[in-house]
Amino acid sequence: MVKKLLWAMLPVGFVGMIIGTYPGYKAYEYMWKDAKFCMTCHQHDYASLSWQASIHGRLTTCHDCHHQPLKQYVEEMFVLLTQKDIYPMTMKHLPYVTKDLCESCHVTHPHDVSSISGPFEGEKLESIPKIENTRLHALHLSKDTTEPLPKAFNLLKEDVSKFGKFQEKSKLKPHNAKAQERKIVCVDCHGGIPNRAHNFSATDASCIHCHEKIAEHPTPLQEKFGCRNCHFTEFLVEQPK
Amino acid sequence: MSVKWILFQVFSLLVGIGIGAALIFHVMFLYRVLPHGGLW
Repeated sequence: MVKKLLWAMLPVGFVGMIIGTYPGYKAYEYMWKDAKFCMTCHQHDYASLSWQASIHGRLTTCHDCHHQPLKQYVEEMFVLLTQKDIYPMTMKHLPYVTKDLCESCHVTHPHDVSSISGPFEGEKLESIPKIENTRLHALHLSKDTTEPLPKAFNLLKEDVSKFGKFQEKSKLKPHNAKAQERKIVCVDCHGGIPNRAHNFSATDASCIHCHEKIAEHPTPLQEKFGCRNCHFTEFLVEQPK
Repeated sequence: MSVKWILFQVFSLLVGIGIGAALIFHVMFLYRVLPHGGLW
């Protein structure tokens, strides 16, 4: 009897499955591509407002940049249902953002663009100015460093006070970090501790993080104007090809 | 065709829509999450 009923359900059920793909896809689009979905739970006003006000706010959505393991989604749902989340006391880690992510839009030949699903995707990405065409960006990206990535500093602990301030090398390194040489990446300057809440402007603290000799003995001019007042144009103006 | 039969077919259609929607939603979700965030 049950078998007979299931067979009777099959043709209409199959048609239903095909019809169902449309609302299913729309639900996925809302969940993945619409920031309103994320903001129903993530009530971080400072981050939401700064994202909306920034250029990224008009061109990207949360999931373009914030990737996390599947396990984390399950954990989030559990926390949401069982605990009262009080920021920042209950924050256990920084948001998941990979160090190569900026490349997806801002470099001519990125490693990967498959995560970009926001309103700005595909061919439109090519029209974004590419940073390797500016002299100082190209220079920095070609250099190596042994400095730890900014995410190695624990934002929720006292490490924050060490970033961008001159002190002995050994104190600057987070515990157990081995000084391995690696290429400088975008987040070294645009993802540091001063770049909280969707503010990605490089700050003088980011420069000093590596150019520490200048920070130790600054000239009166450097002390008065900092780094970027003089050097920012070479980071922004494209070089003629 | 009895009313019962029609209601049964409507029920089948709704079940199908539910399964189809859930299937495409989860396939797309996993397609986005797994390559970048991974499983664990």
